[in-house]
Amino acid sequence: MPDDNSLQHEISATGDSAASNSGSTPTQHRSATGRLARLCLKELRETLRDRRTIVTLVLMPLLVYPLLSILFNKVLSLSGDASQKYECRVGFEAPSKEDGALFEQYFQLAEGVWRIRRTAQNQGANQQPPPSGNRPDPAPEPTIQWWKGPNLEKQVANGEIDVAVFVTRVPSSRPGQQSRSLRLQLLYRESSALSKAGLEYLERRFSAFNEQYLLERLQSSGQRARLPILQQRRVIRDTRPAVSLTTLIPLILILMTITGAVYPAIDLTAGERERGTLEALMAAPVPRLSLLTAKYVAVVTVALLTAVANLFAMTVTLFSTGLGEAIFGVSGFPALLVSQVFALLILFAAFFSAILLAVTSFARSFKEAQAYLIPLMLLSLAPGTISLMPDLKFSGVFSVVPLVNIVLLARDLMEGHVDPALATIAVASTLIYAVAAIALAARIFGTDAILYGSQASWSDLLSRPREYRDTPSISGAMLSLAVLFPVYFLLAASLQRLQWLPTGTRLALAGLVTVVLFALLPGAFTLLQRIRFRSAFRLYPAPFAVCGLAVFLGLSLWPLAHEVFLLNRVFGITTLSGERVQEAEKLLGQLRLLSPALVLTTLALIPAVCEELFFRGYLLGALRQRFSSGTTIVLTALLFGVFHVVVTSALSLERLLPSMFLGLVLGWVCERSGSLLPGVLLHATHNGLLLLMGIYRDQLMDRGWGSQEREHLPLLWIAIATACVVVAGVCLHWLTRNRTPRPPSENAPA
Amino acid sequence: MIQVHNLVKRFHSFGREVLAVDHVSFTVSAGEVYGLLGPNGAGKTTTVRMIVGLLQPDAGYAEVHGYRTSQANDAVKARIGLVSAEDGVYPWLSVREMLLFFADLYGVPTPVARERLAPLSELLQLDSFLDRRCSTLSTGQKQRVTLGRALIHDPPVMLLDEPTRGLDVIGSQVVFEYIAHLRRQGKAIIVSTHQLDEAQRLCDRFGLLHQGRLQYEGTLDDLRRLTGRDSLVDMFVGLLGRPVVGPITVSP
Repeated sequence: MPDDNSLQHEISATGDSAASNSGSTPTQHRSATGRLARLCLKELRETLRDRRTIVTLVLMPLLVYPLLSILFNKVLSLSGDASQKYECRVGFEAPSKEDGALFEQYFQLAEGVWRIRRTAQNQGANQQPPPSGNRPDPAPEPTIQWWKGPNLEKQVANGEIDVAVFVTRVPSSRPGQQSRSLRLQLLYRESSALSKAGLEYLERRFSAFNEQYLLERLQSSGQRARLPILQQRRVIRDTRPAVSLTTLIPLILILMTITGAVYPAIDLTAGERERGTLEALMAAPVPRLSLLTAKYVAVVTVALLTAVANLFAMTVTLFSTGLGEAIFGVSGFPALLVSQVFALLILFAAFFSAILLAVTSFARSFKEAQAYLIPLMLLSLAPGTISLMPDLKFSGVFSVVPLVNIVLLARDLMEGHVDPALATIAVASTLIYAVAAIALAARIFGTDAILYGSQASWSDLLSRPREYRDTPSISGAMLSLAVLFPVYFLLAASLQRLQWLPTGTRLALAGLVTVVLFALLPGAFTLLQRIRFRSAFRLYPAPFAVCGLAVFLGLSLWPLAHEVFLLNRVFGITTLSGERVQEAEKLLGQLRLLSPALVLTTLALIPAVCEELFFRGYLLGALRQRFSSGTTIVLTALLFGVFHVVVTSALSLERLLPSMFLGLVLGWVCERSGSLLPGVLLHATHNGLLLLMGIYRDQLMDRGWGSQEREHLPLLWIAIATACVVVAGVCLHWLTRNRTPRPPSENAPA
Repeated sequence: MIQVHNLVKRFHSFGREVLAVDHVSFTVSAGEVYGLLGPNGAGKTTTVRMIVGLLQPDAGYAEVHGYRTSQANDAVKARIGLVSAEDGVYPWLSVREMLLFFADLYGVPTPVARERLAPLSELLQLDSFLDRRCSTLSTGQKQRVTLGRALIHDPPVMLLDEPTRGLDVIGSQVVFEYIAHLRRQGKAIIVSTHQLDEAQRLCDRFGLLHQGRLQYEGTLDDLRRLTGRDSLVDMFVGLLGRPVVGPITVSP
């Protein structure tokens, strides 16, 4: 019977062992990443060869957009239906009353000339072209409502009026005489059909008036004459928030992306069962998560290809039909907007494909999958409509609500104002939900309930494992993370609202929240998933020397952490407003009034213990089963950083880098020592020291020990700190050199 | 090579508990073909699925090559080639692509898999359609692809669950030759079937399952002595008419 080590080897190269048993050539080790890439390739090959994928990918966009453009054109022309009277508001501004009066006089005359010509045209319409040589305009004309008021330019820009006429008198060529020529500047909005209609209304009349004037002058004397009206067009940008069509476009794209993702999602999950390939797939020694990840990559790729095809077809349609100008103004469908919309579609595809896979993994047939997807579609249309509510602000809570956050982010992006912190939260939470959905799908896909139909009940799917395990499964950890992240965010945001409570009580509450989130919840998950507490949280003893070194590291890390914090400036991350700095100062002032023991317990000790339990115990253990030591440390540090961005107060991106830095060190210490204890000591020492330095800052400054918070530290300090960290690191590495990492013992031999 | 020890599986259907496999135990050695026989619903397929680890037993365990299914499932799966009557193919992949894909799933490097493809396609006569899409194949051809798929990683243990169901005479003949080939290769083989005349020709030892219990176990001669009947068909008829009791086995 094989021992532990040979088993690990055999599992990692299963084919080799099987091959060697029957005398085949031994084979080289192949990385899991390479296999995952080949799995993805197979899924993509299979999907892209399927005719039904091609239909949604190519034919749909080719058909849909021309049809939609016809529909839009119809809608736009309907608004100018002859049966409907529409009113155009025109304002004019003249430097003097006299000029104003002359303009009004000219307009009356121009109106008269136009009417006479129209009547003549209508009478001889069938035989003769109109005198001006223009084609008769079939579009009905608006009725003009004159408008007077200050600041016409602004009024045109925000849509209060449609056209503005700025009247000036052309200087006379003869001194002492006043010219009777007017220069008219006509201001309009390119994006507004009504504005353009008003512009053309005025231009037609003034041109007709000019022509009539010239005609009469030529007939009477043959003299050269100056035209009474010189016209000039001027465009103004629309400053009103873009509603309707501009927000409809991302919605249409999102719907089309869903269309692209739905078929492969069903085909690669429920389709496997229906084809009879699922059992063979499940009988292979491949983790379900790998299979699901490959399927996920294929679905996201097809979704993105559909998005690209749609974006391309839409851009071409908008460009070729001129609809782009009607919707977006003179700039058409700008390249920057196209790329922004595409970036958002990537995020959306990543999220929605994961959700689709999670849902379709429950299904045993195509029909069943389709039945599950209908409510999902309806559910996802609801947030789509939210983007049409202009008053809804993209604020804290919405940034963690799935789908709503993407739609609101899309809207803000289209409107050109995005809060980077909120965007980060939205993207991070969306990705966490996607990972959790994949983890859930991996838990369900190919289980005996799905594989063999009614032989197992639905409750079995989410039931507790039969046997105890040492570490949480990666899918279990991702699900826990997906529960923890929004709960954490909401609790942190609620705590912020309790400013009226005494500081001591708020501190105690914050401590309680930390305990619940990072210790009790993971504890509950551990119980539910039948994982041994000791191994799940790495509750092993550590040598005294290692603990001592961890404390030493905790004491010497802060100057480096401070410098990492200042790196934010290099990357241009500055969300710390003066107001927020003041708030922090105020809090520090309040802390100074409290007992240091309470402050240290709630802000240093409790977070150190609980965060270590979750990040370096539960999460690290789960991730370590799938990833290398280095990757696991980086991943947990990243998650640790993300959690600190949303901690307590508003979203401070500045905390990401220093927290990640600390997370990297803590992860490394935990991996080296194999125990949670040194990390807890390091974390508590680091937090405690920083707190004490904040509380006793004035005293330290008096003794010449302090430094300004936002300044670089003296080079000597940094050098000493670096030396200390390096020495401690080398010693710790040396002390733990003989510690063999505990292998995940899920696959113990019989 | 294969050890099945007191396997038990219960299913719940509409509030009723069904004992699908009831304390079944047997062993299969290398180079031996073990026929798991029984009428429909006897528990043959469930037993096979528990050996692979596709179903969790309620009690008992299965061991393959020294690895327990419940504890080292991947190690067990890597050593098993599974053929089932309901096996399908990937319609949009070619036969070659599908076989190489499964080789990859079992960690067989592509050059090795390509080398294995030649004798395998000769054995199963896949040559003529190796590069055709699976969707264009006939039922018999699909079955041959499935047999090839189960063997591409050259496993020491083969589990064949109703391998001839739905096949014509020629298709079945291919399966028989395949099993003979596997035996020559020294693999431990379990064939579950209810086609008794085939089983009689192919298998070295037999386990007769009825209502989840192993009623008789042994070689054909052992069974003849035990039951006093000559052919497996007669034994079966006798078995079906007999109340269910504990297994009557002859130690080999």
